[in-house]
Amino acid sequence: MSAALAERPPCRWWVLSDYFEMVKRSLRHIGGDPDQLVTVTLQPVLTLTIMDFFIGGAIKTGTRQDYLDFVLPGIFIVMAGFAAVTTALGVASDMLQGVVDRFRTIPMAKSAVVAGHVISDLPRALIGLAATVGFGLLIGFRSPAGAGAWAAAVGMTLLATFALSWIAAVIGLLGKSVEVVQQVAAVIIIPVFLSNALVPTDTMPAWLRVVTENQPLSQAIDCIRALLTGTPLGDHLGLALAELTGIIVIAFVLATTLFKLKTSQ
Amino acid sequence: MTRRSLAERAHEQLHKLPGMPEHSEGTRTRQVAVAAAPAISTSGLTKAYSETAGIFDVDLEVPDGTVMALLGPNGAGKTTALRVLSTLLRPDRGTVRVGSFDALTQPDRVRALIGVASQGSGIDEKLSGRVNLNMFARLHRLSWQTARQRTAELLDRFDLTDAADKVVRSYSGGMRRKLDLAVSLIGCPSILFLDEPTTGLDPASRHALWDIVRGLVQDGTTVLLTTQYLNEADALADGVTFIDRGRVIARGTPAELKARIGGRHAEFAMASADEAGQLAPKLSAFEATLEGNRVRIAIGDRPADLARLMLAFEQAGIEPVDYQVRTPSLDDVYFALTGRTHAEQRADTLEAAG
Repeated sequence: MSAALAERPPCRWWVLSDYFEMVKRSLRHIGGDPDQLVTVTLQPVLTLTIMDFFIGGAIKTGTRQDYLDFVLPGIFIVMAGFAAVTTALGVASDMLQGVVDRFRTIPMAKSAVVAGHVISDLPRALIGLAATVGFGLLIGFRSPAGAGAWAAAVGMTLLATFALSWIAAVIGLLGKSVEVVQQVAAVIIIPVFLSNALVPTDTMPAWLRVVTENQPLSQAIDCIRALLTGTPLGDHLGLALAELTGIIVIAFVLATTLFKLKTSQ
Repeated sequence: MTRRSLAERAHEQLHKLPGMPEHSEGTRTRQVAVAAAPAISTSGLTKAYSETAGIFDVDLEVPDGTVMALLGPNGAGKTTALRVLSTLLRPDRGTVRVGSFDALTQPDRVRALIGVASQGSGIDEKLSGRVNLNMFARLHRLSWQTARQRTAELLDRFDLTDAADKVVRSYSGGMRRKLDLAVSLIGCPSILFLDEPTTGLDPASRHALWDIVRGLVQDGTTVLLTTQYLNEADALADGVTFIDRGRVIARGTPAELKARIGGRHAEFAMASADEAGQLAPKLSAFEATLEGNRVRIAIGDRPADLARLMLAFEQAGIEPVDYQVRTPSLDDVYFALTGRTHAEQRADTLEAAG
């Protein structure tokens, strides 16, 4: 059988099948590790609760309704950060616990090993997004946006998740132990807080304001805000797409190079 | 292994699916397989980590359809050799051919032929046994239906059907090894690499695993295994290659290697080394060697030889503390080759364990 396969010219459709299997594998890990779902649902809901009920009143955005409208799109990206952590852990345990050697002795598309984790963060993020939006609506979030704008907002959230997950993959590949990666992966959340996700940037010092307003996650959040409040997108859409794509390309190249380096020792 | 024999095997394997082990007619006998080109051959294989760590100028040849055991102490380079052969590690120098392919230039061709089991580490412990097998079958690019069939068949064969839907993390060590081996067989490999397949297993699981390996070899699979257990090599291997400090120090069949260090002998323990030393003149008719308080005397294969020796002891009034009659084991070969005594070896082992 295997010998027969070796004689057959490789068929490109099998590469898709490899990706499919690896994504399915990563999603199946939820069954053995339900924490993954808790992370993407409970964490953003808790963050939203704390921001809206406790801290929101002290942030000058107008009424409480105004703050909720302001913060929910930010929470989408907070959720994206938590979703990405799963990739860091998944990649690290593959690399450190020997199963990567099994994948390497199979004539499959090796790129699917890391990409499987990254791609599987997208359905995870969708679940997290559903929980976040559901909870937002429950506590009073209202949006004039139509289906198209909602779909675009979801798409932007997924693009941000994809970018953060590739960064998480790099962290997972660099890790010397799963425990260390678990600690370090929290770093992914930092750029989320160093954005306009939870607070307006008006009161920040000028230099910090330049950074936070222009970083890709802020651009993505501004985009989602404009989509959900029905205000003009301005140049946020173009900037968010360009910056996030740039991050994805850089992190992808880094991850691929690291994977090759780590598996050739 | 020639292209033709590969094609033949592919044909056989296809017709054998899904009922893999068939010890009936049509099975290639070992003699025929030995005559074919080697399944694995290396020359001058070198992968140096430091002056002494790694492998150096390793030449190996494993005939098609046979079992080769790589033996050696901890850190001798057995695992390094296996990783190079199974395409996981690029050597610094040397050539590697596996099947009819060059492992360095056509690794994916080689990967389609081989299965690798490495101490139970090649499975996803967050998934169930069945899901593991099915996933790796699909990654080996078997059709959905074949994947399902092979999975069910291997679960059954390895006695894992009851635990099939439990998550691997809950498996015992023996079950993990079995599943790992099952996964390594999912792509119907014609060449199998096993890294210390029975280390840490209880005797029953060890024998069960040996039986599985024998069954595979009977079907024409070539097996290269590393082991620290000399009785494992004795039980399974057609050929043995001793490695020490990264270099091949001896090779041959178990029988050849044992013959090289002499035949049957009797070993006597005396109360003291002095007492042992005084024995020599009394036993001048025999070939005796002294080691501390122990005296080894070579004897022939006839029971009468032993009777003659015992009579000599009786007549001289020698009272040993303990005695035994032994045929050389691979252990003896091992100690003779590595130039260490049992005591040194034990000290080494303790040091390694501590």
